[in-house]
Amino acid sequence: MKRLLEFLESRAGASSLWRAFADEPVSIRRAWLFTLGSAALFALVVQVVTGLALALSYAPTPDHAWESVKAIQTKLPAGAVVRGLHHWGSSAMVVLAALHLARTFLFGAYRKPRELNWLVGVALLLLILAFGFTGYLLPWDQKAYWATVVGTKVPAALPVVGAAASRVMAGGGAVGAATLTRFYAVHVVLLPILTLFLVAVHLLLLRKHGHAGPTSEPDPRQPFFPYQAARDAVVGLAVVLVLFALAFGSPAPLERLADPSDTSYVPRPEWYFLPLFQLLKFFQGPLEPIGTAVLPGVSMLLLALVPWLDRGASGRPRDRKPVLVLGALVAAGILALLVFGALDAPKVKARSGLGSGDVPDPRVLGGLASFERRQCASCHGAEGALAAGAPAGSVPLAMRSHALTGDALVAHVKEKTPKPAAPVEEGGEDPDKDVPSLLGYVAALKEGATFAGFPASIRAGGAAIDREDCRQCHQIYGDGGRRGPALQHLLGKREKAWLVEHFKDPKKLVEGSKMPKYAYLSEAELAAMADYLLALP
Amino acid sequence: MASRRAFTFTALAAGAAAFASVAGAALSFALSPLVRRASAAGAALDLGAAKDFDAVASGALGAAEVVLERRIEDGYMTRKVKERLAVVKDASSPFGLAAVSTTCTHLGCGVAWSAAKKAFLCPCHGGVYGADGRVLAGPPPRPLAKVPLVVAGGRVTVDPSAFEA
Repeated sequence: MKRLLEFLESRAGASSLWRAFADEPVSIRRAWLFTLGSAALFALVVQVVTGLALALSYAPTPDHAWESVKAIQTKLPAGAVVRGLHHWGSSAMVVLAALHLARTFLFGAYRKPRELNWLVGVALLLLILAFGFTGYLLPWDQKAYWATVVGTKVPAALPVVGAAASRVMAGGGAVGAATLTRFYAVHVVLLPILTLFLVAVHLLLLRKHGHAGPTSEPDPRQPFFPYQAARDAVVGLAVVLVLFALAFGSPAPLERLADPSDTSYVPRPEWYFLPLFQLLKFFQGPLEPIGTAVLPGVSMLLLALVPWLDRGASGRPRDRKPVLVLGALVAAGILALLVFGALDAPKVKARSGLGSGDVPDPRVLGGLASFERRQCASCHGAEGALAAGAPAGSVPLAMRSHALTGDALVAHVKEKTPKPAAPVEEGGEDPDKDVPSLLGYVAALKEGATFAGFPASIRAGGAAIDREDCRQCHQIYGDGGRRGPALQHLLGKREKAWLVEHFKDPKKLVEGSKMPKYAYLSEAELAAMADYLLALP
Repeated sequence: MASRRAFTFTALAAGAAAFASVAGAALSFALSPLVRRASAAGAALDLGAAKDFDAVASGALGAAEVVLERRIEDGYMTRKVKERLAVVKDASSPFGLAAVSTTCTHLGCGVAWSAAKKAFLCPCHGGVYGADGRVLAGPPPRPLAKVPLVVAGGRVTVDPSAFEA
């Protein structure tokens, strides 16, 4: 062992290098505050390790990215944990780097001769944000897609270079396959190389100028190893434990597959971009570059120039009031934008399919069909907005206060419906079988949904699917039986003609299928059902 | 002596140029989107039967949103995407209808028609457009893009080239 160490020392200077770092005298006062940089480094190590693991199983193409992430999440052993660690680790990086920066700022540790190391730190902060931006496109889910659509369009408003910068970022005119490969390459090759290089420079400069320590005397010191190293280890343990707790308690989200046609989706960026997102709302038209480039750019420049703005003789906080006040104001501004941005985020719509832009639930469309068949509109008006000349006492269904439910509603429907409800089929089916769907439709109206905008075929298809009760065996929007496959993401997998043929004779196309034949339905209705299924997200 | 010095510097410059050309080749990859443009060819896209849009033409309905599917050239591959268009009333068109893109001209989010507000609303930064695509409020710099629409043989179709960014 001793000979091995001697060999390493004589050939590589390993022991001297180790001693140089281990014996570094570190300040004892406020020692715990000096662990923040190490905490950020631990989070970075977590990101490198989990990122490497994720890269082993990820495919950066629009056809496979989402599925590969889903496979990581659901099929790989510990896949959900590794992805959760990476997801939460990115937030941890931002938080810990910001705290480390705040501590350095408060202590004035950027002052001569450490100006360069401050600059390296600012560059690392930008790299962390770039990691976040390029990273969350990769799952190719709704959040990924829309955040990147917005993010790559942001530079477009800049004068002269804007349009070109936007195209280079996206790899073309729109977010697509080229964007995904670009972001992937930047995320897993370019940024890690730059980051590791700058982290090395950061540590070497720390070693060169020594530990800055507290702002006032006395400043007793201890060697880094084992004293400060032990504190770092405790903090590192805490970081990893918190990340594990988050990964288990709140798994990384994977939203629906990216869908450019889904206008019901409300895009919001990751929390650390909310201040920028919020700024976009304040500056419009020709002023927009102020929000997208000038303000963020000036803030970053000010941050980078801090060591040169604060060159007074004393490093004590009370002698650096102007700089500290300015820093506090900028930090308060960023936090305020973050809070307002977070408050502004609309509540995520329940996955009921009731949203005006989403494809409605088949139950709602079935209800719409029976609303029409039962001529409810003669009193309640189209879409539940009271018809002109409605009998006195009619209730506008879109009104939230309306409250006729359960048996009372069934009785009401039976009493008021102008003619026998559904055509009673052979075998004497319940003519009021459609009432639950009708209730679903009325509930959707109360949510403020409107359906007239949907193509007639999708409305008819959804109604037919509701009437034929496809949900007895198939899941739609996460609701229904599990005997057949869930009806989602069919677009791109099945052709319309295939679906229609399959409805007519399932066994012909899928060997061993237990699904009954629906050949008795009209061709138009079968086509409408296929339209509806293909429109489902 | 001078020629020796010149040789040394020439050698250094040549080495630097060789590496610069490697970097240049890599950079040309990165900047290729500035030169390559996706082609905008393809058959007309069917939006549906003309009678499906009677409510729009008569003014009873402000806008009908249509999801359609088309094949696009996307970087190294072609793939199917779903796109959303809105069909609106347009007295100036010989067909009485016009199609507008539902992509917000601000930062590209998808706008949705609100029957209650009789306007297209953008969920991102609060852009508001009228039924004809005009900007009514918010940050959008331009009206919603018009997509040429044709009604023939009882079918409504649009020209796919209007989608290309």
